[in-house]
Amino acid sequence: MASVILSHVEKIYDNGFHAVHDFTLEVQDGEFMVFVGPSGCGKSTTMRMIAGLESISSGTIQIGDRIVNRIPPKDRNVAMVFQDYALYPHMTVRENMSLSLKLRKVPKQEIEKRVLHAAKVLDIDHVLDRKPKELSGGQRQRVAVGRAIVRTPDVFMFDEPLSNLDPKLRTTMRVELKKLHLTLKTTMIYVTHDQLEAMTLADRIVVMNQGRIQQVGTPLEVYSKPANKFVAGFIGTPPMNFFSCEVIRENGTVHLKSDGFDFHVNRDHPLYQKLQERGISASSGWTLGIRPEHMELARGKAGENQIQAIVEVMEPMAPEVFVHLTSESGEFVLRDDGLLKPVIRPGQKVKVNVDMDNIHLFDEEGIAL
Amino acid sequence: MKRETLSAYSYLLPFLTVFGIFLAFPVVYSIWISLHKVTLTTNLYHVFSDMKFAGLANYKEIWNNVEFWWSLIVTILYMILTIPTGIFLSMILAVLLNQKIKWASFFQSAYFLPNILDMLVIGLIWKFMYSPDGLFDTFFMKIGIDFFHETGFLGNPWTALPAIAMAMVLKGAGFGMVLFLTALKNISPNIFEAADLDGLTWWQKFRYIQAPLLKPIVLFLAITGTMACLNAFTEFYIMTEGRPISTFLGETVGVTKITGYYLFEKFTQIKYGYAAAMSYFLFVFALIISYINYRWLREKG
Amino acid sequence: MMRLQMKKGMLYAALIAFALFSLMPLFFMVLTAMKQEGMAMKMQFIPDGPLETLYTFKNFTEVLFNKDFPFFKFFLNSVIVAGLTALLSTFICLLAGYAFARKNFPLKNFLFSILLSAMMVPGMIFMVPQFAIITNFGWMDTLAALVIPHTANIFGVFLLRQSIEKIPNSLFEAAEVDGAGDWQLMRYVVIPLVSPILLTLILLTFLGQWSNFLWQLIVNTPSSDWLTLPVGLALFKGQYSIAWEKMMAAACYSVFPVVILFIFLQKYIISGLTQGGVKE
Repeated sequence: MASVILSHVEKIYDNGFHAVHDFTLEVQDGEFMVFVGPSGCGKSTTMRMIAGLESISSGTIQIGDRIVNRIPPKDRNVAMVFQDYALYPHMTVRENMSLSLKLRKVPKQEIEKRVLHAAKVLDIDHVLDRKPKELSGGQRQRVAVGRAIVRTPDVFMFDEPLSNLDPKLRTTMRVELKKLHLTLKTTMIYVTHDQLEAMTLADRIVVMNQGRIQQVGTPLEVYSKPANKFVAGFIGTPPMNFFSCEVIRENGTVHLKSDGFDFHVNRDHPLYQKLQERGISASSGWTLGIRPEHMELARGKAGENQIQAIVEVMEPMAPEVFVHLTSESGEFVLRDDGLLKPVIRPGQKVKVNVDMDNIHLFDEEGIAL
Repeated sequence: MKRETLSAYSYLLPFLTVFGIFLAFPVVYSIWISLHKVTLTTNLYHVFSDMKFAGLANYKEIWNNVEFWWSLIVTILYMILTIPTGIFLSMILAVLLNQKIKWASFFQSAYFLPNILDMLVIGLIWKFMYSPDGLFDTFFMKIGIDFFHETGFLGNPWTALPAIAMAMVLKGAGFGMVLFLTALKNISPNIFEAADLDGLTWWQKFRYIQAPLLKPIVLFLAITGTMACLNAFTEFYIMTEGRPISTFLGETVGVTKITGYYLFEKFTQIKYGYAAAMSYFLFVFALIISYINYRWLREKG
Repeated sequence: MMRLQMKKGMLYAALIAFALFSLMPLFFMVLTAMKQEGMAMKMQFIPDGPLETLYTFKNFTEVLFNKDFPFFKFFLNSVIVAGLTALLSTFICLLAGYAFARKNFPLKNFLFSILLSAMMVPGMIFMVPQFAIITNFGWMDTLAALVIPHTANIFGVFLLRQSIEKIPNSLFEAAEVDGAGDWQLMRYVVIPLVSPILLTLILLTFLGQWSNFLWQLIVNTPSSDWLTLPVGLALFKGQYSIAWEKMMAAACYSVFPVVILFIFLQKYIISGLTQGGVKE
């Protein structure tokens, strides 16, 4: 077991493509760290640099107390589960799981013992003598994991390991991976483009975009305090609603105004204080972010901080409903508990309440206030 | 040097060594040889250290040598006799085998097998079958044709080359057939069902669906066939040794003395420089023919 | 219905006729090889009296241990030459194909195009200079002369490069993370996964060299210890041009191994040959 420390790591490919910019991160010993981001954001490249499958253009990577920049993958004592599992098609499950130990000259009996143990843990001990093509997708996935855990490596890496499974199996395997981490307590680095997977599995999440770290934090932190508009939009389903607006601070009140709404909060709201600190009294070009779960239908009652809208479509997700609406300030989605479903219909005009304690404001560069 | 470069070249080393010595270097070395002549004093098996510079003399001699040009004509005739017939025959066999028939794999094997047998042995057997009182002559005598009786098929200037060509077409047809068959089997049956719905006839289906897919194979076979004709040697060595004799532009020539065999003959006469120079003529000829093949098939569609 | 039946009948007739025609030389060879001395030139295949008046097996044993033309030795030489070339060449091509498929190195594309264009050079070009090199090496009448020049098989490099490239990259990476070095990647990933191609290549090279007459003829003097089957046969024909039954018996020793290989391994032979064509 070991920590992984990356400092100022860069990756520039031979063709000039700058895949990873100034990546600095400390993964603690035993931590479950998830790299998440859209495809091409550099998350896989970063992990492959840790594994030694890609060279590092500059910066250092440290596993435990060793700088591993120039150490080949086979000597880094890391294990990896690949997206396509990368099982050796010509070997049985047993041989697949044994190979790494055999290459490290572990005694035969010891290999047999460890393989059997891992197979029991993963519930694949009855398929040990089959070849990968005779296995189901879920079993192959387990073999890939099994191949990694027999080695008791310092760090486990997972490269989108669940993306080839059907949705139901994916949920099951997610739970099993989480359990596995709790049993093994080994450092794990996990790459995915699925933010739900990231949220459910991670101790901490690294959100990446265009080769740069956008935010590092616990799932709750990245959800409730997104550092920028990208993170805010990437984490959460349905994604956060954005409205462009102008900000006016006067007489102890902050107004967030656009054509369709005029929300306001008073002096004791954190927004007010932050704007005051930065000396902003009136400016435009802001983006207001409100998550669908922080909006609700007003049921006819008129009140403060409301926005008028027309119901377009409803997506019943049982038990909740995603209601798609359109307003003068643009389209948005809200997430309702579903009880109101019979009350509204498409085309209906409604008023929507906004939970002002859970709003996010982003400046022109998209940085959270 | 980078570690990857070093390891890559260490993997390539055995191959590149042999390739360099026995394939790349000879192309250049051959030019040197072609500019030299063997002298009378040279040792038969160490000739190359003791050759005399001759400039372009070998090339000039070849240029003025009727026998050489005749050998090129034989090569072209051999191409005309073997390539189109070979392609046509293998295409027919493939179309026949591409239907629902029993024993398809047996037929395929039977047609393909001669292709991998030893050229010398096949040539020898055919020589025997073609000889006077051989299998074919006996057959023709039985039905009252004695035209081939005196010389056999290979001794007659009119039949010698076609006889060799037929033997080789039969030997080689299986190769083209397998290629065509693979391509035909790759066509999705849905296309034919759609064609049936559109009311295409058997010929239209072949013309518009199958033929376009077979074209690259025709090109491939034309090029490999050309190469085979330019390198043709063994079948001529074993079957005719260049005979029978005839005259061409007032010179005595061997009717089946194809360039490959003629080159070998010069080689056995220890005219190494001459043979090397001739092989360059052959090379240029190969480039021209390949280019024509390529252009011709391209223009056709 | 009747028309369909007739069409089928004609189809089978054509197929069978051509099969007979295609295999006729082989039948003819075997029957002639079993003729009694002096009976070969008589195109008679059904004996007038008992079978032994026309047929015998003694030609097969006689050519095998003939004093001047010991075909048993020629056969062994051919097996050694073709077998050794096949194994050595496939191994060399595997290494080169691996480098082309998996490694980056300077001049890679240049080298590759050199190989491509070398395939277009007519083989006759190589005869004189290759012979010159062999004599300069003092390799006349040696096994090396018969084997080494044919171990650089460009087609083999292409074929192996192509099939190694088809192996998913993640398999190599998994093996690397599992602790495999370069040689172990070769042993545990490459060789098992391209073994059908290796077998194909071994077979094709073997068959090619089994019947490579011209080269074997020119690097052997008539007194060489390394005369091969085709060369032996050609020399035998020069000496006894009318002993057809003996010649055909000797020819059988060239044909039978190929037929046996073909019967059991034709899948590999055909797939290898077609890959060369489909690549175009």
